[in-house]
Amino acid sequence: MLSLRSEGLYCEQGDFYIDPWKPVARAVVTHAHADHARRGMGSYLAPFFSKNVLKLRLGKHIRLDTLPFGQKHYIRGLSLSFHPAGHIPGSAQIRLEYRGEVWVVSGDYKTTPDGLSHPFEPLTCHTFITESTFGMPLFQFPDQETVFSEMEAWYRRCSGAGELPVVLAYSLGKAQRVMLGLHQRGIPVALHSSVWETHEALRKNGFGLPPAPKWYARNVPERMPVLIAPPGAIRGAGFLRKQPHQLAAASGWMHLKGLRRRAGYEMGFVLSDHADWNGLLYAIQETKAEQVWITHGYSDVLSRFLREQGIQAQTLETHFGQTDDDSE
Amino acid sequence: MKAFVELYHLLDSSPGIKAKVDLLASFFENHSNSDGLWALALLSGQIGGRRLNSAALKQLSMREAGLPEWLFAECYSVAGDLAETMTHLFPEPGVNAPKGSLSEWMQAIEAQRGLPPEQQQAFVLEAWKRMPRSTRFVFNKLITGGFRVGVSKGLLVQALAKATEQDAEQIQYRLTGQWHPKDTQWQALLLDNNSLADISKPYPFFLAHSYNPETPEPKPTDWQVEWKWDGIRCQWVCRQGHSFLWSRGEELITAAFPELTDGALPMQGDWVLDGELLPGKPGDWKPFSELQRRLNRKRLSSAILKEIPVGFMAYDLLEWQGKDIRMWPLRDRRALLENEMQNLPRIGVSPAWVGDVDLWVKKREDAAQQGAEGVMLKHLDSTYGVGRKRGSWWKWKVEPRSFDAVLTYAQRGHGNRANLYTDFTFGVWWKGELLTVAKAYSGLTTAELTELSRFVSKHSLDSFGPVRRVEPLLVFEIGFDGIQESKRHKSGIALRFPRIFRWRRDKKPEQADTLDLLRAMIEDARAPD
Repeated sequence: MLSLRSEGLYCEQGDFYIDPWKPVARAVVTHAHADHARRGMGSYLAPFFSKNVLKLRLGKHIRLDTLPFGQKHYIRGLSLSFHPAGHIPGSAQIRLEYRGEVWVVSGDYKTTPDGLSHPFEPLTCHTFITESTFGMPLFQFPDQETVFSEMEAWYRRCSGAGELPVVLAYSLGKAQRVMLGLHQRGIPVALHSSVWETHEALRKNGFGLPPAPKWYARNVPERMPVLIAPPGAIRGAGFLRKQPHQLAAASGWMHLKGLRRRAGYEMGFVLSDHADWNGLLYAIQETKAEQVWITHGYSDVLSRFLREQGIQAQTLETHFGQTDDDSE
Repeated sequence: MKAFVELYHLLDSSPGIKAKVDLLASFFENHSNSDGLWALALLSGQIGGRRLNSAALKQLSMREAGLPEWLFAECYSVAGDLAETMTHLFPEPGVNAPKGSLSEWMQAIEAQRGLPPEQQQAFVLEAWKRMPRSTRFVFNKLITGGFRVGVSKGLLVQALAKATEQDAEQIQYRLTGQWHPKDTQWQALLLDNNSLADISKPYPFFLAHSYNPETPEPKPTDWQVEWKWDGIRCQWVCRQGHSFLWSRGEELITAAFPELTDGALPMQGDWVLDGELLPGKPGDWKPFSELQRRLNRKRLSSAILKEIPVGFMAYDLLEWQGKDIRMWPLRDRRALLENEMQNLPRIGVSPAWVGDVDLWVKKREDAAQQGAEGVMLKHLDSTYGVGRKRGSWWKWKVEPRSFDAVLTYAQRGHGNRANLYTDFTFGVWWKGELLTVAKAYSGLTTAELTELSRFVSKHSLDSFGPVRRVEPLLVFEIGFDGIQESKRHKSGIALRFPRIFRWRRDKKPEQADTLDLLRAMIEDARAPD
């Protein structure tokens, strides 16, 4: 049903590509992160809840159709539907069915609820194409509550020392999750402009996010907030030069001390929008798939492990996970 | 144990040096007892080496996680640290930190050493089950050895100086030599009167700026030219018949050079020399690579002491008969040095000449044949200052040499660069094959490393653990400071300080250099006067 072409994952029956990395006529996209939704496609089909952020990121005038979760769309005998992937707000898995055969493309996903994204929906299929960003048993993430408690303690240390706590989080997905977690603990936040734009786009798209102020360097509020900013905006940012601050990153990669240090962060919070090892195994098991194709991440490790468990698994060389700004 | 675990994690997430010193100082103030000593011994690396049987630990970790050996190995290679790998792979969350002080835990761990592996495993498993992750991680560090939290010896010394209200040099002296928390008291080690601690003190080092002929800053006359030796910059402090060697990092390194210290080499008088530790002896100095072989040893056997002796090349006299003479002009200090320090065992006086720029150029051309890195230019009127000041002392290094080589192997970084390939092996052509001549891991920007890591992933031919053999497609210019023959390397060549100068995207692999070129470089370096 699907095959790998130089443009991306191609579906012959429906004549479209899923999350293509080169310009094609028809693209079906799982979510709005830059390594999955790229510019220059003739038309886009996407889940309804990703509509506003897709337009924010790819331009207002793209040809975009959307579908609500679970609604089937028929193309020449093939049915296509989006199902929640739990990765970020509006992210989906894509389910394809043709003459009784079912394929599911996971896109990016996580199996634990984050309180904001529609929770991951396990789907049964014959072939499952899964990501493997954290497909290594080293990655067994702590639960979100524990991490937010650590973040709260860190906030108190920083604000006690008169230093601005800065959490670096990808502007779509992670930033809202951090914002909501802090908000629920009564900690004030301020949003870097690109985070703020995304925040507003999601609010207009129907997500239950509270309003949050934009960050102004000249006007630091009396009660110290946590500044939420995308990683790219901070490198060499002039606006922090005069402001005593501490940097922390929120990412699954912060699980490993070495990676945190290499990235140069004093503090790291293990908040991942990708499934950890146990999440991946759970999702794969739930699909009851006979065949598993594994894309970006530790694909060789995961596929070897699955083969040893008697599952037909192989690595698929895609271009996912290859833009630096959003992948995790 | 709880306080130490907290200290460990706070140190790990504290930004500046000052914050770290404060954390350590307050820990030592509150733990001026055996816990403080254990913490000090662990953080300074005084106690090192694997403490429990690491094969048994790996086996236990694999068994508890239910993983095959290859998968455990993959995890280890990504995390780059056994303690962290085992921490993450243990499936149970643990509840609350177990009771007991750090010294009690260390003694419990010590008591496990030498027991059969099964018993060690039972002890560790029991501990893992009770500990939350953060404690388990520190515990794993304790049972695997090797504490590294970005705490240098210097930081510890500063913190102890602050906590005990003493000079850093006194602390430095007190911490040298062999001591073990099992049979040492805090009071005796750090607080009781110690007269030697008081007389060991060196002077701050005076450092030179790099000279660039484009900026003719130095006045043309009255310059002394010396070789810039390739050794370990060091002050030799001799007072009341005791010798102390201080490295440029203001670390007391006496213990590493027993042949120069009190017992082996009794010295008279009160004086302080500035100079360079070099392998060999006066009149018969050897290249620095010899000394490196010795520095790599954990224990100094009498055989290695005999095979690679060390001497001291003196070039300045800072104290004479107990008098600080750093403010004397160089010409006077030099005269005294030449008069008083000739013909002493294991001490040579570095030759010096006086002349203008023509002499500088000529001496610099000869430097490589002397085993020197270049020349030092010092004004005859200069005093011995503090730190790096412009004007009266200059260093002028020989241009590094370079060649073009092909990338052949890549290895993932350990620890803090675990997701990138950072260690590279390069080959040059010989009879149609690429022969390994250099390993290098510095010289590329993070952006280049990221790009290169992607290349390695896509063009990997074989893998051997964390090492990937890559398609020989990329050419890099490799710089180095010295080259000599080596019987231990297949290529027959050993380079000193090889590093990546740049990525030669303009060159194809077949345009890389040949082994013949490198052999010719050795011949050049050996050319007679």
